[in-house]
Amino acid sequence: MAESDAPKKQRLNPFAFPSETNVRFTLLVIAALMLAFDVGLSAGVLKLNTPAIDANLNDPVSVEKGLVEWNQTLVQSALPGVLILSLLILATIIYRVYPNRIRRKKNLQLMTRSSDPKYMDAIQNLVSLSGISPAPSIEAAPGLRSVDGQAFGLPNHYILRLGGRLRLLLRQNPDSFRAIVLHELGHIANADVARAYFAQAIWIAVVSLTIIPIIAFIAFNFIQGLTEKLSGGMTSAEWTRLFTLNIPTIIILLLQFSGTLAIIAAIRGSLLRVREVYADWRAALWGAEAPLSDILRRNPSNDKTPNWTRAWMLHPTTQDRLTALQNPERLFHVTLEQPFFVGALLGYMLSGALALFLYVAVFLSAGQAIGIMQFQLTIGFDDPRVTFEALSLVFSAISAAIVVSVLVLGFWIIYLVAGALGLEVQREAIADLTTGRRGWVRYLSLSKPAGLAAVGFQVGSLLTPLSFLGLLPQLINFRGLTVLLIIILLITITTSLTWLGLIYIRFFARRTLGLHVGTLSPHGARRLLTLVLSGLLLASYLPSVIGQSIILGVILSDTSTVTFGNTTMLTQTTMIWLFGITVITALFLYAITFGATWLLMQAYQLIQNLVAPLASRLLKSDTRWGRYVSIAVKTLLPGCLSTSPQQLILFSALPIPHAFRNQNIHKQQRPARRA
Amino acid sequence: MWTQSSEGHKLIQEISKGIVMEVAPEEMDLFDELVMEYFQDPTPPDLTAKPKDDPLGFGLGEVLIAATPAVAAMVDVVLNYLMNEIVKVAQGESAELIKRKIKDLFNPKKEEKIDKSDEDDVVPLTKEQLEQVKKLARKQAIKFGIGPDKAEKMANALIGLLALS
Repeated sequence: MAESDAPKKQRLNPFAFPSETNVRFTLLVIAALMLAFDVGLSAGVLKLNTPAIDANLNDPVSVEKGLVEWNQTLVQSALPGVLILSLLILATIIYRVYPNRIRRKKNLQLMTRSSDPKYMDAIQNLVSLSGISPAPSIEAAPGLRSVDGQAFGLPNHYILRLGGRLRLLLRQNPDSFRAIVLHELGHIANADVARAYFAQAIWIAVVSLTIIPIIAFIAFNFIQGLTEKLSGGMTSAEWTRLFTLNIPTIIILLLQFSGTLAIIAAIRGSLLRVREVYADWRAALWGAEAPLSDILRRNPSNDKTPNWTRAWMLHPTTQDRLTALQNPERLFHVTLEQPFFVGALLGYMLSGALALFLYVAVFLSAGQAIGIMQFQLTIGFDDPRVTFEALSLVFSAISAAIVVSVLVLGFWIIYLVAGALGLEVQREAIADLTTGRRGWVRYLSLSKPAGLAAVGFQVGSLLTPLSFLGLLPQLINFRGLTVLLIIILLITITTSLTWLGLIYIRFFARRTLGLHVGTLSPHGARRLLTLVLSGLLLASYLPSVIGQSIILGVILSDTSTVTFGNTTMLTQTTMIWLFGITVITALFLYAITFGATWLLMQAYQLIQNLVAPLASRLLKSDTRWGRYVSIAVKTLLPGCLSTSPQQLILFSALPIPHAFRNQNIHKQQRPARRA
Repeated sequence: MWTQSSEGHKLIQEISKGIVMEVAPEEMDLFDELVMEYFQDPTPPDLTAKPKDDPLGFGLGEVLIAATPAVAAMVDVVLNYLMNEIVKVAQGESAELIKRKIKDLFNPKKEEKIDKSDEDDVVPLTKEQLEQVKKLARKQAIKFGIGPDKAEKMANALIGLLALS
């Protein structure tokens, strides 16, 4: 307590609140799978022909014929699953062999205690300090003169690659040695290793299994077709078509793929850069802040690196690292790149997820039809033990279970998006409580991330292979202008709805998380807020998803219906009506949710007032005083409330190193709870 | 060149050890390895090398300058200079004798004299030659990434060894 009462400038503890990067890693993996599915669809690998349901169950010939057709459909509809499963298997293999690749590439050799007892003992001491168990093995490349390090490996068998000069650094400057090793141990303690390398592995799998073969296939087909045409002689109309349609379409397709890869690489870079700052902070909390700052000061980043390439770099500039170390408040701000990237990932995922959902529906129909027909062929419904209705009921129940699972999966994706977007707002809201920043300007500023998320969503949707961007050469006309206006309208509407969602999160985060008093971080309240935001975001992005179909309808104005397989689904007019209804529903849902949450808050506070009137009054007086109130609560009212309020956790960055020293890795991975 | 032979390496190692003990005693633990590193790759470290942007790496890749390789490089260049100087004044003498004279320059008291004739006597270096040795030593140390002050100290330590003789 005495330490937190000292007049020195207090800083926020970055681990008091979970980082949104964990969620983003998961989104990156899902986006990769969805993109692979999209690529499969666009390349024609995944096709779906739904047969007409005209099999007469009383006619064995008709049943046989129906069985053949539905079997074909079943196989077609199962292909996405097979593709995704193959990708996951390939990614797992890449992930498992990655440590060996690093070893071979860097020519690493395992270090044992006998090779340098002083060095290995020093590392062992730092591992003990970090509480990481089992201890990572130490590997080094002989002859390297750098003092670099790298964490890699597999869970329960992590490896630290340490530069050849670290042994000398230990003798020359033991504090710097500690800082570098603790930074790498920080990556392991922060659970960065598995996430970072698996996300990387899944993208290597997607690129090597789908994108590269598809690009090669497109290029081969184009060149072959062109060669054939050229040898046979081309008419002027064909020449015109080649330059106004074929070549631009190929270029757009290649741009889509390269744009996708550029965005994904930028997302990976952004994620890893943030994790570097957290690893720095972990090392700082273990007592290595001063030497780490010294190292960063000694090595100013090379300013020759162009700004635009920094988006793909895996480390922040040393200046940025130093600033984040000195002023962790920056880690609590809502960033601008993150909402854009989350929006883009959502764009990739939603188009793929919708198509995937239709595949699941067809798969279930095929399974049901085949099951019934097969039953008729083998047993027959004349058997009194099983009726047609009973069998249908069983199949329907199985189908319902699968559909519910898919819907839950879809909602989980939205929950992750809400987690990524909402968590930053929650962190900022809590940090603002400590600095006293408040007022409508803070709410207004949330429109920027909301706008960027909406723009990111459109960019992500456009970059998916099945988007209408491929039809751009046909849109240099009035229709193109209409499409542009619709896109602007969609961005505006999505921005507004997302903004409302973020306002909701900030408003209630201040009022729930800000008043939290307890020995644990308020996980429950935080998750509840994220869950509510998921619902709001689902409602916010639904108009945009329908908007994509409207755009497609405008482009393909000859066929103003949305079809799937042999089935005409919705007309353009219906889609426009649906769009309007979803916007109004989203606003209505927002108003209801906001009102209901506010009422719940009031009821909760009323109960609090009854249970602990003095503490409630103190806590409500001014949140800036919360820290002092916590002392009062601890001293005066030990029976009423727990003893470690959230405010104290946030303020406790400096005293924490001592508190962290003797904890094990499991507690380290959830520092907020412990703190 | 003689300094690249095993005998030359041994002499470089011997002379360097004394200097390292004086200017960078903390490196004595790793002295043998660091000297071997110099013999295997006698090129100066690339101080402008860009750090590798490995995922979950430290991200700086700072090159740590070790005094030992710099001292070895310094001794190497000085030995070559001295050899040239001695050859100039002692033309027609056997290579073996020239080597011994160089060794004697650094360590005359410990070396047992086999032949005490005039031509085996240690030829003292002139003031100009000592200046040149210091200049060469300093330059070589700086080339290996040592700061000017420390390079000066290292060169002085080397001159000290010569002067003692």
